[in-house]
Amino acid sequence: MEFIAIAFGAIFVNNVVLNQFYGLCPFLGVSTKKSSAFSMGMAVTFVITLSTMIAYTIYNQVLVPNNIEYLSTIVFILVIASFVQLVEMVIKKFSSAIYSALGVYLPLITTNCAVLGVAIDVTVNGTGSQKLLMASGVAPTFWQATVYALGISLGYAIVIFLFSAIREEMDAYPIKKNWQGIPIALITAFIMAMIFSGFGGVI
Amino acid sequence: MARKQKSLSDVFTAGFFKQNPVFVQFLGMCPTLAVTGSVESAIGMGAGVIFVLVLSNLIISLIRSAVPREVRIPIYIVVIASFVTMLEMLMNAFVPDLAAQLGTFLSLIVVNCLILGRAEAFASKNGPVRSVLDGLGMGIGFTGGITLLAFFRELLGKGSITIWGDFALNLIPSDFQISILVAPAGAFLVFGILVSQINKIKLRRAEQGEVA
Amino acid sequence: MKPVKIVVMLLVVVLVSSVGVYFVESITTPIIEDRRAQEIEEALQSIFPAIDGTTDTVTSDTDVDFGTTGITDVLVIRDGDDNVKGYVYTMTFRGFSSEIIYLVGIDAAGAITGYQTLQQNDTAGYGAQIADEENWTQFTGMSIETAGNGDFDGLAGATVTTNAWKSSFETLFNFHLDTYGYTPMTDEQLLLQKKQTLVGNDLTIESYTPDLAPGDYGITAVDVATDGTDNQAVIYTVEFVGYNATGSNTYLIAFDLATNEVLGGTALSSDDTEGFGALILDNANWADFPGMSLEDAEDGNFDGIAGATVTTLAWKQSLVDVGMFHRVEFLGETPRTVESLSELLFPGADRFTNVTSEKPFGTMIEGVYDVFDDLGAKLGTVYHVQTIGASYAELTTIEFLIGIDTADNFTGFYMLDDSETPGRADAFYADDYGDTIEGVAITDDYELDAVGGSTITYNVITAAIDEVVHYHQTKYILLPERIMDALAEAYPGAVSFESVYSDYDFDATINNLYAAKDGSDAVIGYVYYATATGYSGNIIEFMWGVDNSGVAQQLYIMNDTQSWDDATYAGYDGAFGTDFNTSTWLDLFEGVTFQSILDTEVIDAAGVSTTTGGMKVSLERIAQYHADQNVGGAS
Repeated sequence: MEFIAIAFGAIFVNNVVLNQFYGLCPFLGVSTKKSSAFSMGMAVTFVITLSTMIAYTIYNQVLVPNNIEYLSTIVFILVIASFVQLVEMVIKKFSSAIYSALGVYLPLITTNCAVLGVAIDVTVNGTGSQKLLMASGVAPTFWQATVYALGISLGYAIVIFLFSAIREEMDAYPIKKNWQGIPIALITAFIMAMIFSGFGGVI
Repeated sequence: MARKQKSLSDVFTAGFFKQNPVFVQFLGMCPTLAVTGSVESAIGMGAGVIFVLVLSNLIISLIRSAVPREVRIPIYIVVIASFVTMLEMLMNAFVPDLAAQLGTFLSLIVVNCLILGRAEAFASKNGPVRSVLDGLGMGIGFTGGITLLAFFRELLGKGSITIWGDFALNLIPSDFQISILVAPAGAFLVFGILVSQINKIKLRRAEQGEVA
Repeated sequence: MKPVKIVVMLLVVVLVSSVGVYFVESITTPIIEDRRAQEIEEALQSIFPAIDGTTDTVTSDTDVDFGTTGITDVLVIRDGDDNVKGYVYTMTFRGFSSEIIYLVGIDAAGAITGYQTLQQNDTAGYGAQIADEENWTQFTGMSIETAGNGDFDGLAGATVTTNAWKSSFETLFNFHLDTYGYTPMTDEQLLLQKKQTLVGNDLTIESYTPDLAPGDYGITAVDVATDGTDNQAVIYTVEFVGYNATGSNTYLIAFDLATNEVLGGTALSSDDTEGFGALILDNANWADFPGMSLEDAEDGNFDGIAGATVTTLAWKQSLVDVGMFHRVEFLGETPRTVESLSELLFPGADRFTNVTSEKPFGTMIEGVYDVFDDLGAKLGTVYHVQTIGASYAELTTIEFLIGIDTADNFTGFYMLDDSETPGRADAFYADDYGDTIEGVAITDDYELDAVGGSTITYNVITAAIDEVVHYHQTKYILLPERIMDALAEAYPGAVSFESVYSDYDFDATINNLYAAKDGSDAVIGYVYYATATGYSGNIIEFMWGVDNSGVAQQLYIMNDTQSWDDATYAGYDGAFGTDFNTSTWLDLFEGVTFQSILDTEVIDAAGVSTTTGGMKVSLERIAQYHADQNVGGAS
């Protein structure tokens, strides 16, 4: 039940894009087509979930015991960059099918702030504990953090896919020149964010 | 390669309008939308970005010849992350309220595409003076952009602009506030409208240019 | 060599960066810690005002496990002797759209000493109201249990945040109870604290014994606040009945003894309707009081309780009584008593004799006082009248004094007590109210000063005056000698007589009932002083004795002017004589038992059947009364 609540909160209420504004660049950049949005969503899900597990472990096993929590930003970004690199190499070597689907999106993820943002939220001083529906300053357990990361990335995947579907449909309609592209995408995101804010009343 | 180098003043002012990171390049969108609920936090975020951008551009420009191509990105990231960490600690010590307002987005300056982008696109190819000027110009352009956005959101959403508790501008009676604008969703709306209006101006200029 | 260069370069960059970060960290950490400590200290002053910066110690309790309560810190405040004075909690919870952090102080008795929202980022106009100080003040003085039960005002329109706020208080209350516990103040301590709040903490509160009986004014306790040498303020504990007639309301009100201004007031309890009369418990309804003059309090110049008219009226009326008490007890003003007002009715009076017990019963007559001058000559009579008022408030009374001199003229009118509508009541109290009646013969028409809009009350008063006039004419006997003579005629064997009517029920026929006594003051029988209706409505006054065994004594017709002739109708030959008292018809009611009169029908005297019939009805009624009331153990 607790995990369900955390996951629900992460997917809908604190939606990573629409409520927290993490990962906006790829959200607007890679959402013109449903296929690429789907691939991006999958890649993000994979990277966020695993890198959060790694970051959580390093933070609690290495940084905290040595009282160097303040280095977490530096350490996390290195971990994420290396991990993404590693994933890319592994995929390239073992499955050309997956690589052709996800490969081009992986480097982009390094600078997707959702990855670093989630890692920081589940570790440092319980910064994001309220996003996990927990009291302030309370650090989540490993599995709570993992479920949260999974929920966040699924929320990302769902929203970017829905968003791309809307944008594809929108191509069929005439839009004033100055509203084309980013502006109309932002208005669409506004309406989606309004809808998602309604989930706030559920918990 | 024979391209003429831009003048120093061009380097400095490029970020203001022509290549404005917020409205033209759409770089650093996360903070653009997340911290523009109030003018105060927008200015704070802008100052933070200027601090990191100028220093990282300077250092990267200084060490650019010593950095092996293969690992340049990780090295840039370490440099940037170090400055961001320092910035976090300094802000927590001296402007704690602002640091609390910015929250995780202070740490996320690390992955602000603007900073890594300028490091890669400019500082790694130019000397320290030009790099600092570029960082400063881009930083000011970024700050101006998000402050403009925050101005509209706070003014229409809260009816008044308050900066550091001392300076308050009360313009709109509370009955006419549109509080959705300061909520997360409102960021998309205001930003979308602003971009569309800037596009409109650009399009008109382009047409006039063709005629002329 | 390339890989070596890469590794070296990476190492150098990481190392230099780490050193730089460490350097900045070592500078900023102490600053951050100092600031936190300072913030807490500043917050403590408002959260826990009783803190003494020089002797008290504040420590963070590190031994307790906060679990998932949302509590992040508890500061324990101890005094110089290491006794716990209270706790300050830092509590966090999730509102609608942000995490909210607040501080709350709780004293050793479980009362909240202060509240402050430290951080919130909820929707402006909704959840963000939690940052408004007007939503904080309600907690001060509230029991943590009350707050834990959610009995405090939420945020208008922000249901989610309000619910979360209340639930966080519930968590905090349960944690506090489990971890530290507390001993709530006793009712006496709470009451004392409330009194102290009204007069300020510098004065000492002592119980006060007034000269007047405070109970007569609805006051249940009087306390004074002293600075050690002089009494500076007085605090009344007052009780009154509001809308709910089966319960009551109590409140405290304090007056400054130097300025006679209200220092403040607060309600203690209310049995009135929730949401209406019981709103007297809401301190907002007492906001007008501090600084109010005694006159304004008496006149009811304050807002009262919206929607609770009856309770407001009763509340204002109770303040009239409190003001009266205050004026007499502390300001040395003359009390409105029967004695003081009687002197105003008869300026030359020397002596007032309460003769109520000697007089027959009158429904509205509370007291009858004979007035004499210094030579012993009778000047007249003062009636103390009490009747039921006409105010919307239930059970109001109107009490007044009215004087009638020996020439049967009114000497004046004074209002003694009036629980009618405040403001209107003042008009009735006015010294010139009723002046118009002065010198008017009681048989003449009179008119009191009209008080605008108080027609019903006015009518109640004039009806009561008419009642007094009637009583004075029929039941108050102006000539005691006449009564004495008649009594002797009715019971020749008795030496003295004493009215005992007040021991029995009132009957419209019977004016008075006297016990007949022998030389050793033993009761040998009774005499009824009664009236009958004769021909064409003539009133026949008579005395009728009866001994202890129920045997009728003499029946004596008292009316000097009443003759048998007067009782006749045209054409009667007067065979029974012309003096009623010599009529042999009356002998039928002498020397026989009362019981036989009831058992056997006595014949009317032919030709005077109306007079004798009326007499017979009265006499039978007396005999029946005698048996029913068991006068002197008659049955």
